[in-house]
Amino acid sequence: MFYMDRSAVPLMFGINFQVNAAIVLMLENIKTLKTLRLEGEEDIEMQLEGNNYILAQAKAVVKSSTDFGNVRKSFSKALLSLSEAAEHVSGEKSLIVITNSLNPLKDDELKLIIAGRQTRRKYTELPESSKKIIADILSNNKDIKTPLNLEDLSIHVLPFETDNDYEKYKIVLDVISDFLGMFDIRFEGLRTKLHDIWSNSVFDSGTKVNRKIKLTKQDIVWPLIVSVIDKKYLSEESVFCTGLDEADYQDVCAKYSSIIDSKCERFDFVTRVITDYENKRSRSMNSIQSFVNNNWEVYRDDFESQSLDDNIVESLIKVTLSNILLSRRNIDSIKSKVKL
Amino acid sequence: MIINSLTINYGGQEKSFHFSDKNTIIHSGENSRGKTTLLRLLLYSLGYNIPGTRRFKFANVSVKSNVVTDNGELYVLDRTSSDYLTICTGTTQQTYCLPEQIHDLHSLLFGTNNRDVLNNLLGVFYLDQEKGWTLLNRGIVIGSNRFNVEDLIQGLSGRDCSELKQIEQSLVKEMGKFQQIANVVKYKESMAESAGLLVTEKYANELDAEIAYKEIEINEIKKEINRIDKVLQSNKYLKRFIEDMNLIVQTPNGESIHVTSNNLIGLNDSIDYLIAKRKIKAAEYRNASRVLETLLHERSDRDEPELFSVESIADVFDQMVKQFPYGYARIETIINNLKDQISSTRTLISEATRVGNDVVSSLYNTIVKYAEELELGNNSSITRGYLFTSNLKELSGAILHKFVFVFRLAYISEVKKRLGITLPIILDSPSGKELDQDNKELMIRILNRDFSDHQIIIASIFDYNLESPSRIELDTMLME
Repeated sequence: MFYMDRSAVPLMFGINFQVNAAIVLMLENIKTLKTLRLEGEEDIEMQLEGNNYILAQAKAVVKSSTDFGNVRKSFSKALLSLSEAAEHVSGEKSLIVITNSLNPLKDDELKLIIAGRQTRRKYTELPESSKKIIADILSNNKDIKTPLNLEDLSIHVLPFETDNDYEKYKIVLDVISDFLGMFDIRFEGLRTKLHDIWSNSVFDSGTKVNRKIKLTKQDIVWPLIVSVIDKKYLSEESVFCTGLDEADYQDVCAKYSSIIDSKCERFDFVTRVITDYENKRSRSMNSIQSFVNNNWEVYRDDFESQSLDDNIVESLIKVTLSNILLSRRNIDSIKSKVKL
Repeated sequence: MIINSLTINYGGQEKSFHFSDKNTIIHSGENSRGKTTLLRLLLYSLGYNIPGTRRFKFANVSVKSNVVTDNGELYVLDRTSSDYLTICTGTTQQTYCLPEQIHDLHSLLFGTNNRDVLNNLLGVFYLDQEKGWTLLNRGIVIGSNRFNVEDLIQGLSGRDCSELKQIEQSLVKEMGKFQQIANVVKYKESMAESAGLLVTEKYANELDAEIAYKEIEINEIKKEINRIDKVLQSNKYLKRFIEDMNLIVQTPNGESIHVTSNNLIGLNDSIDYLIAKRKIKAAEYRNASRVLETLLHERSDRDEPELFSVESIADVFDQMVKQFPYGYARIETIINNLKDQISSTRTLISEATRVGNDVVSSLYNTIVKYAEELELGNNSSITRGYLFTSNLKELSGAILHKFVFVFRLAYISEVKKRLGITLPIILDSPSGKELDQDNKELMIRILNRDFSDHQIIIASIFDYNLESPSRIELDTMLME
């Protein structure tokens, strides 16, 4: 999990929430996302395709389901900050107050709508009672000098509470699971692993003094690709493509992972395999499985070793070929789905 | 094999030396002109790992030799680095990584792939001025090159003792380990004596196991990062290479496209993939290091008041040594046991080499023949076991010198007889300090008479009555 002191010190808790809120917004907008940065013009600043921006204020309350004492004050500060930031950003903007408070305006009607769940409401979709509270906040906060276009404003509620990681991150992890659903990927532990990686990357983006340094879509998507095409995750399909017994397959992967990885990552070798596969495939409806099993001997020279038995070399080549071809398919699929 | 020539390039200066296919004398009026260096460079050019001389660092030298093998193949051997050698024949060219492929190279040059023979061949045909004239049947030829008569005999007679040798090696390794342990146990017992008792503390517990686990994990991550870096480097190099080539390709519809890393399918993907993977591994490394640091602090807090009055490596060592449960007597028994096993394994190897072996008889007969001629003894004073003697101390300087010569001639003859290989004979300073003129003449007479079909190269400050020798005079320094 994201490495940070988990004690309920409000400041730390706030930063942790900000990171997780950024991950949720990032995944919800991944197709059009260009860059992301914490503590840019706003707590969370995202640039989208077509000169569109998302500017978000993240407001966290340690006891978010019971403590509503300061929520309106906090909301008022968020509006002030958003109004100032909006002035500095040209282009279309979405202004978001994202919070873990289950009643961010201390409004019973809104609380009923939220009902403890993740919620996204545009200003226009808020109950009248909430709109009135916002209007009051805007008229009472004399510091807000720039008029806020309320049609750009949304409230997002992201439940995030307790020191128990499982409970605190469950909604964020669900969002990651939904995102992975786009690719039809379901691997044990993958969403937690990605949450760790993204938390670190997003947090790091907020620690750079130079504001021009932002997290790009590539920075976000490639760790996903790496995790997905890791051979451990691919084993079932790869076992099938190699035609090997599962135990033999696992044995070769465990003993020769460095050789397999290095071959699968070297561009010259990968290109050769993919080109060979495409040439064969264009002549007949050749599946990865039949390509691997009918052509593995072509690559024997690349795996020549006096210390390996012939049958081990055969398995090694088959595992490598199937991993290369399946990886390529996964890379293309993920890139295309997130428009990278 | 015949060595026709050697070209040396040292600091941009190039000099070539030509050798007769019969007899060559490398001569200088004074010592320290470079005769030994020239011979060593000759061997270096054949792929051997040969140390440089005081003035000549081989790492800075390029050598090229021209050799003809016994089956008439002409090869040009080009060595510009200690790590590899390129061999050319006609239009083909092959590179050998050294020392990994030295057997492949020498099997091409000498015409045998028997490793026991190839490993010992240098000690058969080359006598170094320093160690060569005291090397009778086992020991160092030069640098890291060794000679062992039993291995040579096994190779020449086709007797494979590799399994026994492996057992012997692992026993020797094991004994080395126990000798180290014995030292540590002696130290432990001396600590106990000085403390008045043997303290045993429980050292390994869950925290230690956790620390060890984390350390292993960190090492594995480090290895993986190194591996990724290497592949990444190689892909980046390829990217630069392709970009620098400025290639243009034509599509089937006649359009010209400039090849860049951006339109080469998958190149940038492969680099982005590795960069992301490296970042993930770096994050794992950071996290694991932080956890390890915390665990080490915990252990330090735990241990400090109880076990360590002073934090030092020596204290940790003492504490660990105290945990070792065996005493010196036990270790000594194990060492003695190992010694017995090594000794009986060596006996087995020796028997497998010597008993009923034609090569041994043949070598013995040749040795006696030449020993008689050089007035060293006859078949009643020289026993068959003398071939394997390790007692050289009883031999005086001149006698040892002649015996060494006789043994080498016997080896050379046997290699020719069994494998049909006509080796060159390379002698550095064969006169020695205690050899008189008569003995020198006797030695040369044998060479002229019985080894006239071998290429003979002698380096010396003296002259020899070799038949029509070509001469290389080193009046000045080697490269002057």
